[in-house]
Amino acid sequence: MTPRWEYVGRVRHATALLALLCLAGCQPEDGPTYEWNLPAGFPTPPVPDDNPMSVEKVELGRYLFYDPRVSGNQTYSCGSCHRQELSFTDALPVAVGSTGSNTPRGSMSLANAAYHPRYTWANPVVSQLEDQALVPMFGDTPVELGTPDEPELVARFSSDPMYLDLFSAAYPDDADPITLGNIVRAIACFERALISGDSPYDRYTYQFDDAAMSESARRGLELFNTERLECFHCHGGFNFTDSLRQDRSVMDEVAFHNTALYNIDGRGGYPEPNRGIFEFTGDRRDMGRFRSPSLRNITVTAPYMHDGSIETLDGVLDHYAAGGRTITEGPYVGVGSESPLKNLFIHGFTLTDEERADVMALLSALTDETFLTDPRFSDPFE
Amino acid sequence: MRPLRPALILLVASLATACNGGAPVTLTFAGLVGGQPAACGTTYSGVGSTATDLELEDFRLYVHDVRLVTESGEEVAVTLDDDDWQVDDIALLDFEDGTAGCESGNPGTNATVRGTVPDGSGPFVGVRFRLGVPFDRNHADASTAPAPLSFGSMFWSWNLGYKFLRVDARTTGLPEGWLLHLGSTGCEGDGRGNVSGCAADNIVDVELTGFDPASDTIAVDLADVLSGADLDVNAGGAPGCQSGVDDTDCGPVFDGLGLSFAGTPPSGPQRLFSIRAP
Repeated sequence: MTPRWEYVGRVRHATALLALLCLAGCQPEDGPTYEWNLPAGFPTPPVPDDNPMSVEKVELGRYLFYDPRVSGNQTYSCGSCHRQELSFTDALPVAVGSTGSNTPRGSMSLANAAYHPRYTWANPVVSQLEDQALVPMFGDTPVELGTPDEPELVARFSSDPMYLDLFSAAYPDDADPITLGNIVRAIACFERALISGDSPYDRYTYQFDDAAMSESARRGLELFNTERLECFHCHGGFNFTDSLRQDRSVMDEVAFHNTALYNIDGRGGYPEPNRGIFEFTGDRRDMGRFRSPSLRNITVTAPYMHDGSIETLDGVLDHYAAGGRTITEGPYVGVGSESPLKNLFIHGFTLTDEERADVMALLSALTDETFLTDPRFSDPFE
Repeated sequence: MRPLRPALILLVASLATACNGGAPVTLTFAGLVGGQPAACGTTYSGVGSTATDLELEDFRLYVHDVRLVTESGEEVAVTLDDDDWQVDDIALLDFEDGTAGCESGNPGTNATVRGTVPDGSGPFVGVRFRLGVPFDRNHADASTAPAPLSFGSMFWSWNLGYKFLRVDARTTGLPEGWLLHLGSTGCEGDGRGNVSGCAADNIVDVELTGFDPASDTIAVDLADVLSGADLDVNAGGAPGCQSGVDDTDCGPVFDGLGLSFAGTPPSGPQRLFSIRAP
């Protein structure tokens, strides 16, 4: 048993617990329909039947998201690794937990997380935010939040009159609304509300504001959509990813790709513990396969890739232009472009300086300043 | 009054048909490579002009405008059911199940087209349909469209529209990948869904005779359509044939699809679809 499998087992255990809690806590919702106020061009996000959206749950979830009482030593909140001004990332190569442990991977942006069919960088089974929340809360390899068991967690919030009001408003039909299940469900509601769709690209594309995006960015958009660069295959659609779920989807589109970031053994190998969904399936063809992240707000989410091993967007373009990264020294020496496992679209390209500037202008046009500063998504304790 | 009567009866009959929903009809397709069932991760030998080995990683296609042909040569339109695989008379045939290298796909598969024809309009001896997505549905944002037009993996971009046919594979000479992505090219638009037209729509007209929908299968055989193509080299443009007018790998592939390529008309009708009697 590798530590990774223990970690998975622990999460499964917690998922089962949550399922029980949900069964016990479910009640019909008679309240008004939640108003998403979606940006033009955006489909309605899917919502699990047992956790309908409400303004009150989103607001409770916002407090809980930013509250360090969720962590064991009361120093860390969800917001510690998911900072709004960085599109809910943390500027670190890999996230650091509340007890100082490095996690294997970088904190992912939460922008438009409601539309993801799977969560985390490479997990084929976590398909709801409610389940994902349990990973940082209760995962112990490594410890992230180190959330205490339910009785202590509930006690922390039960002694706070503000939370008594927030929980009562969010779960008006529950006699004892402060439960682990309700905490998780409220956080998930807040995360689903984190919709980013007011970037210059959105204003140009969906609101037909020609002035919103520069000529350079428009040329970049054309390049992005060419078979020369192939960007759009994995980063297409309104959310710039090929892993997408919306309320009109009948099947999740779940895509995990090997982008030839590593080739440590000449057979396409990735270094442990970051071997993609291979960690789950054990199928060698799944080596190095990670979920395509959305490119929204990508300019503020450096460093890049699952392990933060590329510092800048220019470096990311270099990697794709080369058809895979070549590492010439250190433990991970290898020629990514020669990986037999790399995705078919990673075939490399050349860009003139002007074309590179155009692609960068497009990527910059995906930054949504409204989202990064929206008071509805900000830390209520500040 | 008298001459009107038959027309009235016909009208009543057709109304009754509409209310009844007509007679159900199911067209059964079979995804094949050289007569063998198409399956993710399976390697097929003897494919293309170099008789290469081909490992399949995706195989999906859209069809629309489905018609059955009566003995008298009359076309009867099939009204497709709206469901997970069909919307507004457009259907997705999906021969990949997301396993073993089919990383762009999903678990669901679909090998039938289901719909209705007016009661009593058979028997039928032929079938006609079009491979592709009609122009008026081809340039919306797939990521917000209803299924089965919702699959981003079957969509290029607003200007180009959908991949009408997507085949991803690896071959002996191109282990990194050989792709067949068929779709419209030369489309004029603003990148925001306003497309005025395409230089080459690349929609394939299919006409198959000697077809009994109750018993026959429509074979969709990649080996037949790729027989003239060298799948071991990438002669130009994007890997494999991705429909671009400068993608020289497309010449023999388009010929197999019965499509003109770069001004050269095809040598004959399409060879992708054929009838298989039981």
